Amino acid sequence: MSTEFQGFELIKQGAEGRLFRGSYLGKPTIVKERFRKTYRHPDLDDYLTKERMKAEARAIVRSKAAGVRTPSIFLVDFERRRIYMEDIKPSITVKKFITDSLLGCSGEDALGKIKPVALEVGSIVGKLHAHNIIHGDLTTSNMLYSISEDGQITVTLIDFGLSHVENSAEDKGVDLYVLERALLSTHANADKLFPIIMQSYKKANNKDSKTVLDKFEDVRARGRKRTMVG
Amino acid sequence: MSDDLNVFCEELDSCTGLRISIALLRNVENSKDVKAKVMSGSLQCAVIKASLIVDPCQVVVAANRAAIGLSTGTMVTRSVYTELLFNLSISKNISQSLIKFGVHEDDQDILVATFDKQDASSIDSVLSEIVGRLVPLSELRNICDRKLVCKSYKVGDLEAKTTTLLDSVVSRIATSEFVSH
Repeated sequence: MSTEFQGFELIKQGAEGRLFRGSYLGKPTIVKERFRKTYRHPDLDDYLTKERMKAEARAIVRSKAAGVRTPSIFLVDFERRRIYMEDIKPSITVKKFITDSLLGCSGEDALGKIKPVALEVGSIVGKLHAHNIIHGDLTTSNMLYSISEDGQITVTLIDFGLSHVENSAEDKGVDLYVLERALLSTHANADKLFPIIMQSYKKANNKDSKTVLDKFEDVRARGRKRTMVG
Repeated sequence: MSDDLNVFCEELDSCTGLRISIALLRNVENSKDVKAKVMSGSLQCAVIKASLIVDPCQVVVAANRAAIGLSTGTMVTRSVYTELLFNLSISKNISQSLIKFGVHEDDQDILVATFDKQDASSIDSVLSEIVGRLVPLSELRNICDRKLVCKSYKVGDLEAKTTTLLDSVVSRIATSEFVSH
């Protein structure tokens, strides 16, 4: 089993796999490689990995169709368990963007700077949900902020490793809950941000925002897991 | 080695040991001949309808999949060149893909691609068989029929507003075997 490959640098190691950064086909590229789980039967492991890679790539492409920016996919290689995708450059995570903005200026100024990004975040999550795409891990670390020369803000959504396509108000509610928790746990002034995000979410997901918001309130009251049985 | 600035080269996946060379020709007069020679195998290259190509990168991503298929023995068509045309298409129908992305007898703008080992390029000998004007690949901008590309790759208006056409196309090529559009 290969551990390193030419010209690529390990940037992150998780429980399920590793991320590498390098150049591929002349483009700045991120490679997501999934581990072989030796405790599983090899055939089952191959099957599960393949299905998960497919689900991830599918969600990325579907999100594009829904009008959400996601990385380009260059290659899905089941043999080597790798997805080769675009390295969004230059960009920082929305998490870092918010932290830096709060650090730099006073409350009111910072909010003014963050507001357009918060609106964009709400809009992309709304578009996803309107197309029944559940991201599964909506944190501000999985959103990349970039700004063009003419001042156009783009938020690119990444890491679709836990996503699936389903018309479930419950799952959409959980998605929003995870986002709210992620904001509250990392940013002190997040209580002002979430309402802004929700404002544009409702606009982008007009169709079922009412049912989703009801579910969201339920989830909020009880936590992410539905039952405590077993 | 081709030192012509109008030939675009890119290294493919290191496991293949191959690279691709791409050139664009306009006002081609002998498309019919060229097509016949490619189909008979006497001309080893892929000839692609240029109006369906947004950017050389689109061909590179499809070629990379074809080259990996060649080196792992998982190609679904007979040669690496038909495999390239097949991979450019998101359809699972081989003959339709070849007709759609291949060159027709009356096509005047054609893209030529060859797979080469690292040290040598065979594109010059292929180009010498084609009667036409070699132009920079940047001219694709004027040749590409973006409407037709959107239709062929099923890119909707919502997507076109936020995602570049190249991004949409490349991502579909990479996932066409398991994503239905």
